[in-house]
Amino acid sequence: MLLEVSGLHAGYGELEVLRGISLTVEAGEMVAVLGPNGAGKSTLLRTISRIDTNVRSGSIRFDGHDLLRASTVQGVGFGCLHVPEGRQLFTELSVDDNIRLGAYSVDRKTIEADVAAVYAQFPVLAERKSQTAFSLSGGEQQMLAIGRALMARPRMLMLDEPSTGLAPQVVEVIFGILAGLKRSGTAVLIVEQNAYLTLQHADRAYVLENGEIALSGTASELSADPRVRAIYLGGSPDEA
Amino acid sequence: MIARLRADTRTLPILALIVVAFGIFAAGNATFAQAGTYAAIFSIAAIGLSLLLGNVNQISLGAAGFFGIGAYAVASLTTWWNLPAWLSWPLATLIGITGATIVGLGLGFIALRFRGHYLAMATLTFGLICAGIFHETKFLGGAIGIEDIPYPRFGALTISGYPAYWFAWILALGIALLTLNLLRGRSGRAFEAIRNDELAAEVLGVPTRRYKILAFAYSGALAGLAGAVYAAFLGIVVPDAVGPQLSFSLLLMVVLGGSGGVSGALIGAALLGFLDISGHQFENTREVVYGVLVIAVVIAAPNGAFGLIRSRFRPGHPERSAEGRVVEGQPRSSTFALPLDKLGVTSSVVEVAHVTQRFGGLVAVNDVSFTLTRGTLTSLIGPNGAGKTTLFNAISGIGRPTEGRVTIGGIDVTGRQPHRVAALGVGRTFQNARLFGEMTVLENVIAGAFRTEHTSFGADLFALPSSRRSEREATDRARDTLVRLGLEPLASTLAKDLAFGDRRRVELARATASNPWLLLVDEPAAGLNAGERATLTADLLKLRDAGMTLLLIEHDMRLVMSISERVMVLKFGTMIADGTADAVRNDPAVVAAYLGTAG
Repeated sequence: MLLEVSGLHAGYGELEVLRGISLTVEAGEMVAVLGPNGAGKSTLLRTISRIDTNVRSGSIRFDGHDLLRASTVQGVGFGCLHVPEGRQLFTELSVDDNIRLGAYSVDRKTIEADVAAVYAQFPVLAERKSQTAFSLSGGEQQMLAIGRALMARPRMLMLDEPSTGLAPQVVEVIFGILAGLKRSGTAVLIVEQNAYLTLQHADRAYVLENGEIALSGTASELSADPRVRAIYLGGSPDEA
Repeated sequence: MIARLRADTRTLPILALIVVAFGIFAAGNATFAQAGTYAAIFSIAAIGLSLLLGNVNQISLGAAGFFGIGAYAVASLTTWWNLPAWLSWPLATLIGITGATIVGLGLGFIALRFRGHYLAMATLTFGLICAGIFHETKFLGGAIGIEDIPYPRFGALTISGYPAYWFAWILALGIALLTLNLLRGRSGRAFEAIRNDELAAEVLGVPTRRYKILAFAYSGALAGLAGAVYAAFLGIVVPDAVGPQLSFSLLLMVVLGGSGGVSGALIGAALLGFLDISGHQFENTREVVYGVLVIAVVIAAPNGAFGLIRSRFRPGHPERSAEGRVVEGQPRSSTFALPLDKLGVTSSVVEVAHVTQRFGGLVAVNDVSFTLTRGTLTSLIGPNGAGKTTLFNAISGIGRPTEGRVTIGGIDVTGRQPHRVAALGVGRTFQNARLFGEMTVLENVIAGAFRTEHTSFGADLFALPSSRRSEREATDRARDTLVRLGLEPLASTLAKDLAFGDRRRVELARATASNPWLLLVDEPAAGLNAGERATLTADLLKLRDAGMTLLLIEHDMRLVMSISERVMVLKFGTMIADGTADAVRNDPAVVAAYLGTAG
């Protein structure tokens, strides 16, 4: 078990967003967290990364470490990497600088080799090495965000809505990259709005509703489950 | 807010007693009497600055400019014209105050463009410009200034020396009383609302720009009056005395005493006045002492001396009132009286026609049109970034649509300021419940009834019957609203102390206190638990049944589908569906927008 979240209650200030979340991610597994707006998907990732949220109760264990007792930076050191919503690149800096900024938690000696590996994986970034991140297309920016995260040698990559604003073909490319990571043993925890597409690529998924896990199962089970649609659009599942 | 004003009002007689006691004590001591007189004069200007800083949250480093206008008006006019003594000084003072008020209106208008440290810079520049003008103007005496200004004289009484002490303090305490009147009325509530949250104040119908300008003008007028008194009592005005140094001293008084209201300003002016006499021996190190003092106050007592005194009077949390106390007073009516019929509108409340909103290259809302019928509840849904809140903003005047038209009750409101749209009967709530944290629940809801009040700045200042009546009516209306939504047990709780779910309900109460006929509700259920959602649903239906037209942005689909007569769906700014809940839920385009398509 790489990531184990159990009984997590968390939110912002007095506002409780997550009301008892339990989930697991195994090494080399791609797990999706789905659900309508405001269900708590991003808050879950932010809580695992310990950004801005208050944890009331529950636990988060990652590779044997208690993440609730670790700082965001320590979490990165354990290999738990967050590619946030909107990519959050350093847009004024060059592509190369952005990639190197991802290497703060690892040994200096391996940096050059890692940079080369990222460029090998994303040749388009190598071509645009000295351009500012701002000048990249949406898909290239998403690749850069992933490439930057890879510099920290993640054991698990958490992505928040990587498909936002991207054309369908570009989304396919991103999912292709994630599939490659998975094969190399890196776990992927992905939050997505595009439920049906994500279910085609993920191994398992959890569907959040109002901060609770309403459904969970393998991707193929959930693809066929009418309750998923009822959660997104209201109404009872039998109508659907 | 009221708690703070009450403490202020109660402190004023104590301060008056101290003034009298000191006056008697200083009868034989010219140095003490003079120091006391200066404290009174500076406190008049400090009250204006305290209101600006502590009640409206606008900083000014240019107060000396207004002080100079008043001082030079008196100095130049009384030495130039030959009017009878009883008329000369009062008339010159009036002219000085008028001049300072007009310049204050101008500065206020300019200040609307600045915030925070930019505002500080802008006002500092204003002060420097004034000092430069006084210094360089020949007929104002240039660098030497104006000497031999006649003392004010009324019959046999010449106001200088010891009598000046009493005269100055009567004036200062009088100004303090008037300022308290102002703060207690509708104007004061508008100031407090602006201080807490400008945007929320604006959508409740508070013309925030006008009130900010008024606050600058009032503060300018008081500084002008202080300058006019100063010139007459001292008999000499030099440009250096009304330079930036004075602006800093006045600000120091306010920070030292505690900004907001009047007592802090009076205490601060007195404290600094006595530091000045006792500090004569270390004249050269005065700035250093003041600097250290400011740092110490900001760290140790951010609410100033008056803040410390207030917290002594009431140990613990001075502004927190007993929770759960039911307010007195009977709710008289629980029905809505909508102004809709007066406007001759019977069915179509709001009409959105071909509205497009672009931000740079992004089209946030794309050619959206719809009409809402009176007394209906419609929901606006769509994935994140669909443009729902942008559309709300376009209707309520927060953003001017790039193209298209918004009509409320047949009146074109496209691009009108939010408070003007609110005045036509449009209420709204925000995703993050923008309550006025430092005000109680009741005060928040009274602020919500702002546009139904009929009183003016002047009526508030002199506490005229029209101002008091208007206050009473607004308070009654606010209480009725609280009763209607079952919130009266929370009436005296400070908004910042409310539980999350209650914040949303209080915001709804505030938005409905003025009986709007169109209510825009932005994500009311976000963060609520099941019980709170049920209460919210009941509240929304109650408002609709009372004849309000509701437009709801909400992500909780169970809530949306159970209470909406009509659901409109936006995706990337475009309306992709509009119909009954069932029709929309089964629309393939809506399913794809929410769940995506496979492959």
